[in-house]
Amino acid sequence: MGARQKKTLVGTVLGLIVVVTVLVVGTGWNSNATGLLDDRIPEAKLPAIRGEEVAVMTAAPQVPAPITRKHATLVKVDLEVIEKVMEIAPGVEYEFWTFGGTVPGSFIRVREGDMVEFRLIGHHDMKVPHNIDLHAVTGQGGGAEATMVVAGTDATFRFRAMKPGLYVYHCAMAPVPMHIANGMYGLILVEPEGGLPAVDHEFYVMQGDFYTKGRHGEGGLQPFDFDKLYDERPEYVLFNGAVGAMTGNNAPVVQAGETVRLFVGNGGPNLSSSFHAIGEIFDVVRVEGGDLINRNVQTTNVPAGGSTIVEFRADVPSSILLVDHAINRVFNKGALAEIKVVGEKQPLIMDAPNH
Amino acid sequence: MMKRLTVSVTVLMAVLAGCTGAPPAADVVAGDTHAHHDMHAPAPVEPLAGMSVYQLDDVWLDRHGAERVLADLRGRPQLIAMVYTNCGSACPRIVADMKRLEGEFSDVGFVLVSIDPERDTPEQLDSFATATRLSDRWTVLAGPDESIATLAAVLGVRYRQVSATDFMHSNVITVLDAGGSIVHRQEALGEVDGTIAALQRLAGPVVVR
Amino acid sequence: MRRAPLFLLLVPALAVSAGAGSALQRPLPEGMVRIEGGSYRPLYVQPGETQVQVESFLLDARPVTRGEYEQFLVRHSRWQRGAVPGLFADDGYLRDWESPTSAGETVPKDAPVTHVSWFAARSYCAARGGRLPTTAEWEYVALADERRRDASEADGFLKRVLELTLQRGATRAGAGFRNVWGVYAMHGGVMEWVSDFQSVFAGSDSRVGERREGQLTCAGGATATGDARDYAAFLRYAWRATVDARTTTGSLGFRCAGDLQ
Repeated sequence: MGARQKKTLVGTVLGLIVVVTVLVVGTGWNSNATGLLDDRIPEAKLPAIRGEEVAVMTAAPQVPAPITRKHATLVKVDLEVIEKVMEIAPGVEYEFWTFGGTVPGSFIRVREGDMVEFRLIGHHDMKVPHNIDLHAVTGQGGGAEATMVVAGTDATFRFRAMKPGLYVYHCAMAPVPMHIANGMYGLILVEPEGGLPAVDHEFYVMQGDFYTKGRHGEGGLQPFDFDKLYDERPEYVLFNGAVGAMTGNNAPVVQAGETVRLFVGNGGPNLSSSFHAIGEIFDVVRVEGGDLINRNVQTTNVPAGGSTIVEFRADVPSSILLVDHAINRVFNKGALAEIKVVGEKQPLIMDAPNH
Repeated sequence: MMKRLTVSVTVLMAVLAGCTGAPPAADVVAGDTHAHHDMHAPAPVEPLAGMSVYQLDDVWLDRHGAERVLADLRGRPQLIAMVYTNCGSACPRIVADMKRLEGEFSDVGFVLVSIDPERDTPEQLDSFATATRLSDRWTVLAGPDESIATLAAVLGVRYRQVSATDFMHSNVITVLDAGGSIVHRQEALGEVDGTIAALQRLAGPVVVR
Repeated sequence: MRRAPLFLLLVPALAVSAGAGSALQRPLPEGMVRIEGGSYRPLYVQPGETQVQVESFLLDARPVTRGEYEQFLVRHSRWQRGAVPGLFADDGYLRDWESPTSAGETVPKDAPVTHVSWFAARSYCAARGGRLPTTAEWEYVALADERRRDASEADGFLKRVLELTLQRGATRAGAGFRNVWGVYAMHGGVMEWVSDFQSVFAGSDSRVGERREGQLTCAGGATATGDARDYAAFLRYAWRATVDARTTTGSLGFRCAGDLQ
């Protein structure tokens, strides 16, 4: 075959591919135009910014009140990085690295279209540099490179809350796995324009895995253990940063018949969560914190660095236990939270001798 | 009032005793060496602000081989960037960003400082300036490693030699006011809006066209 | 409060550093030890370059102490708190001192001086006839344990160094272990200034264990990493990438280096 012929053949084949591609793409666009399955990538919406406000932030399990305003605004967020020793379990201390002094970090709530003026502040007693990558950010590093701070310094950048959803934020400073393993993560909710449907209660629950030198429960101030992090062998798998952070006297109480929404995150650094509520079925799961709604779910996956929103009506007085259903983590590593449901028995729903 | 801090890094580094076991060179002090120089300098117009870059008194060479100190740039706003003339990609774009503004502001100076002391001699800077058609509003400076490190430190420029001929460096263009204080840092190529705003605040737009 | 016998620190060190017999022809500057040159594999390496070469040099056996810095200020009043222009140190400069001239007794005099800027540290070393160590020099010495010049491959070394690094509080100047060079507290004291901290780029986004310089560079070229398990080294590089020359913090101090004649 001559070089010229070969060229022609190649040209023909390429031509065919182009034609076929055009046909395929064309069909796709046509089907979208029917509105049955609109999976086109939308244009960026950049509504005008009116006024400004200071973000109300909360520590887990509390969540800031829903946003009622009907327009986009400039939201100012100040978040301080604090390294501090706290109890990881009764009688066991650990030096956490925190966003706002708690693990998980402060819950941030903004509205789709808002401009967020984000200031990361390094507490003057901070020992190592930190920064923040917010998964809600569209732009370089999620803000990581714009927010590097050492003790006594601060860094500010602005970002547009482009897409509604529940997003993880975390420290992205080297060595990142250690920063996250020390508790440097939290959630930022970007409410859709019309808000989420009203519920009676909203709570903030975030899972993380921890790597202490001593075995689970071994007392005293426990140092971080590199080898266990490296091998992904946590001693603690926790909701809200401590054994018992959300059980017993720390468990939220709701009335039977009330509706509950949980904003659930997983900081990792290593483990995915098989998130489950013992004695409850999730009426609604906003899968991975996005727009997709699933219903009547028993266990939903929360990947490391990801989230979910689950909603249910607490029909029956009971103790609803929130767990990572990779059950060894509940039994031996602390992955347990609780919501207490009080009120009248509901024998038409569940009738048991002792309840 | 803050007194002018006369840390002459050049001088300090030049007198490194080399640790021969001599007693600490107590007289090699920040400022002490320079105090002498101060007495012979013309009376300063006004003390420099505490944040003025012109407090650095390293001696540089310009494209004509003449000795210059940064304080010579006092009196009008300056745009300053650190580059090297052998640089093929980012540096021409830094220069291009600065040139874009040359037509917009008549009373602003432009300064390029080389981070490549080995190759960027005054002669090389001169041919670079000619080749890139830099007007007489531009000052192009070469100096020793220590002076470069010091200036980069105050301008927040990071740089590292990565091969015999190339450096990696941050693409920062800094706006200095007439007294040498930093009023704006453009940290990305092409993002001249903030730079323009800063210059407008300092000088007001004077279109020369 | 323990009063440190300051004079002890001023006694010329008779340190016989490993293999440095010839260096003793001249007395070493007080407090300094001789480091024999060599090469090592750093955390960040350039493409095509696996080893960094370090020439022989001198290094302080201990970080500069509060007491020593106090002495420095007696003769160099320009570096007293309140006298330093903002260009050369931020507001936190010597903030934990009792007064512009006195460190006070709350923290021992032989603890490393902190809350000093790069400019201040550099001037201190220059006044002693020395300089700050380079990143390469500092990292080279930091590889040593009590018996080996390069312990980076030794069992448990990286883990031990990380645990020392994560200890809270600026420990005393002689803390940590004395390595084979006779140098103390490379780990477990304070982070330390190096002369060329500006050569570390804001590769803050190093979660994949390698840096992406991208638009920051003229020469481009991603660099590979050395040992991504060396978390303490990552912390040190993160420091260098984050600070600027004015920065002062309570966990950042320095020690001086010097050239051999």
